[in-house]
Amino acid sequence: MEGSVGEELAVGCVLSLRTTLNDEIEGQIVAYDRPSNILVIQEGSSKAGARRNVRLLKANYIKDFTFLKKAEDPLDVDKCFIDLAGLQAREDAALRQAEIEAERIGVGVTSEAQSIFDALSKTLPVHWDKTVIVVMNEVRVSSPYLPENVTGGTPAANDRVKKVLELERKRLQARNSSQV
Amino acid sequence: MAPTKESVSEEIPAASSLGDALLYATMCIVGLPVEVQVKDGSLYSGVLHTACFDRDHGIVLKKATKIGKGKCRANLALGDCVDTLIVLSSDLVQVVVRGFVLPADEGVVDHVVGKSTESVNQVESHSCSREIEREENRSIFQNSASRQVTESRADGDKEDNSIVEVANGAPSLSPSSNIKGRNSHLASLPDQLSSQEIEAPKALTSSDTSTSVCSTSSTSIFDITANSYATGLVTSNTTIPKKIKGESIIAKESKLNPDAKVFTPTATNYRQVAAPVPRFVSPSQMSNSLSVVPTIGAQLGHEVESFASRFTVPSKVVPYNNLIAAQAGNGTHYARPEPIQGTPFMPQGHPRPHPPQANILKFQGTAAQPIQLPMAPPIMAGENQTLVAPMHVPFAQPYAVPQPVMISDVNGYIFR
Repeated sequence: MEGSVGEELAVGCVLSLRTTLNDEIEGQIVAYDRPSNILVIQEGSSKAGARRNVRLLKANYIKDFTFLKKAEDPLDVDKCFIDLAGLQAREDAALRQAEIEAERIGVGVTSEAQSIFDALSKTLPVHWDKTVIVVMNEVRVSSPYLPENVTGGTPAANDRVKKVLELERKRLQARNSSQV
Repeated sequence: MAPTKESVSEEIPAASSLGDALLYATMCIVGLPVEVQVKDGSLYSGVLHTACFDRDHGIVLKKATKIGKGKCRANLALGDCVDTLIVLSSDLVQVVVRGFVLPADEGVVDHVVGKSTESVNQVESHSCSREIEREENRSIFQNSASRQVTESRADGDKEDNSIVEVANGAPSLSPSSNIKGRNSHLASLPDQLSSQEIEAPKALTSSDTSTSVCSTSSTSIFDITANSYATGLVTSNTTIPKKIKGESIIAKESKLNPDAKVFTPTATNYRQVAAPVPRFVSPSQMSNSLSVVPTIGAQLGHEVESFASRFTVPSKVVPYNNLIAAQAGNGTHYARPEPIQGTPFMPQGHPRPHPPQANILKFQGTAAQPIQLPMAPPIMAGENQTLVAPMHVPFAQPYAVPQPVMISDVNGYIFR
């Protein structure tokens, strides 16, 4: 795109642009890398609460853009520091979190079962055992995840899980009926 | 030997500085959950592991999930998750990091420069490109064109690792290979990845060594100038300065003083850091000479003085409620003040805005619950050390203080 040459000189400018995939982006150009043709854009404003995203956008996917205002280069070279150990730790934490979230997803289960699992997990410790929801490591809820499918555990735990399951199923049905 | 900053200062072309900015921006987002859009419109969400925007390289996502369907058929179905996803540069449209502000943006910096940080050599960007090649070489492919990720998930076998490479719209990556995605076992991913036997497709192997590559797991090393800083370094041979010139320091907002002004350190006093406000001191661990707990906030000067004059340097970390006082030692320690609302207090660093998901730093050590770390640990044990608290610090004990470094030389170039 011919604008990419101009954008190299326009670091710091605030643009509103639209991509060929119909994404609308408004932000300040942080950097432009000519060899890779990638623009680094910081979205949002400095106001508190504004949604600020960073985008690395291939400039050849820009359909059109509007120049909004000129500003200074947002990056201060003297303040560019990288904490390698911190980044590594951050990545490890993010991966652990992703694993935890992946564990919450049942494999080969219906979306209704997943919804029931998510609802139960709000108040009870649950995990999947193939297609069986295991609550508090003792009570098992198997397909089709009705109160009568609750087995195992102490009578007190069993009753508790049944009640919670009934309540959550009612909530899901009410939510689904309101959305229809 | 890496070229010194002074020696290459006259040789830096403008184009190199632009590449450095992209390198810096990419390094800042490594480890964050990002969304990657490919040219057919598909959207993938995952943790950015490494990136190289040169030639045919691309980016590598860990724990990637397809969250947006594109126009063309792809290897992954919507909602599928793979351990490692390689998006080639030719297929890449954009990488989006939600709710993140670059640390050096708007005059804000995370860390204070310190003399005690290690000096390292130049960034070895080709090591990053090697990592991408390793990722490619570990891909598992099948000859069956109909095999999908969902099938591999449904059949229940616990295959350790899978790497899926996204090619725009093609049901198979190459004429001779296809993708098999699989959730990995919950065991350590890097260990599994290294032990996985795979077959490298010819189409994916790159013989190029790229230049613009970013990865924290590479052997990249950086120049650290005298003014570059790493967080929370305290040595056992130094003492906390007795006085900090508070008149030149503007206290950062704290929970005790929400209206406090943004803190900016002075050049001469950047090493002198105020102590945080521990509400509880473990008597078994803390020196009994510490009798006054300074308050975090505007009264930085005299409070640091009072704290510093009383503070001696034990050899281990002292927790106070969620606050850890970094103790002197030759290793890396830091103090972790209590979480507060609002922007963090950085007694010796430039204040930084408080993005909701920005810069989650995690220190090495045993696993610990994530802890908001809005305020800087002010405990200093030496003239040449400064403690800096990152924004959000999941804290673990024992831990090592991360050592932020400034990329002053990248391939012989200097940031401009």
